[in-house]
Amino acid sequence: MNRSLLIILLGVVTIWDTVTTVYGTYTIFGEGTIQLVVSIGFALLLAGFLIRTIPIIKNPSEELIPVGTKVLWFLAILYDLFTSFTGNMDLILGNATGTQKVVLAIGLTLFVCSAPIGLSKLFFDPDSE
Amino acid sequence: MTKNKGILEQPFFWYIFIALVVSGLFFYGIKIDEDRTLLNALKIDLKNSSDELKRYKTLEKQLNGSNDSLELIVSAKEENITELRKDIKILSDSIEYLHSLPPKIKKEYVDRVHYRDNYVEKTNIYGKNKGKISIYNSCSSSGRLNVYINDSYQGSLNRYYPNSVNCPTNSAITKILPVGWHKIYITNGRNTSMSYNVYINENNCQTEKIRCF
Repeated sequence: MNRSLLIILLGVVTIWDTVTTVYGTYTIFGEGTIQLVVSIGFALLLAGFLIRTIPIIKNPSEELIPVGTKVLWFLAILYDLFTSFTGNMDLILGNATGTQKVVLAIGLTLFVCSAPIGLSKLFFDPDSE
Repeated sequence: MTKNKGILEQPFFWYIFIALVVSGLFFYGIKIDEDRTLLNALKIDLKNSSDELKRYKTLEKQLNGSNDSLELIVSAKEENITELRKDIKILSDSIEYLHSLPPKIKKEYVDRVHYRDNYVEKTNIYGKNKGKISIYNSCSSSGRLNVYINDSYQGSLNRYYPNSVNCPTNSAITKILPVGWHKIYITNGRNTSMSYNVYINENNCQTEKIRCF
């Protein structure tokens, strides 16, 4: 597939992933302007972490900062999975019910959360061509 | 020279991680779905309760409206009672005044009232100062007759009665009229007519026989 097209597609899905992160965080924080601003900021930070997945994971250094970044990245992907799951459940599958809804939400979540990692691979892995 | 990879770059870690994530999200999803189904049911219950509450409030308003109406009725009745009491007071005063009059005047008054109550209003079934007239046809050759009283058309007579009829009768044109003279005007199918006046007496039913003309 054309690399640029793939970047656009993964970029759009990454934006949706960020939106679900904003939604999930805002739902937890509660209503308010400050809460919304913090949610957006937090979501952008998480998106940044995930787009830099390849450099973070592949950093061979065992010093505190690179290792700590790996831990934070891991927490970021866990949080992203959670918010993406709740966001997709509410925003896309709001009217459906039952096990099918849950299975669909899991599928969507895995695809959506893998988008920034895929984008990272395209940007930072020289072997991705 | 082989490069030493970290745990995050090991495939088995990601297999386990994905498996754990999928399992965790599945159970979490089932739970929140149940919670939301329950929440939706509660919302429906809440909506029904809200509708019921609205219905009760409307009913309460209607009841309050009825109470207001009752209060209005009671108030109107009380006003009526007050008016009646005033009338009774006026009557009592009048009776007292009458008792205070000299015996001669009192007797005249009583006689007048007695006459009015017993001989005029009570016995006059046609109303005060009124009598009744029944007009019937006794001529076999006159055909249909049109009857007018005081130039007002009253109806037509199609049958004839050679003998006298009782008053009032269904076989005639019957009318209640004020006491006094009234103009009777009769026409037949041959364009001939007759006219005359009759006097109506109070509380009396009189027959008017139309002969051939």
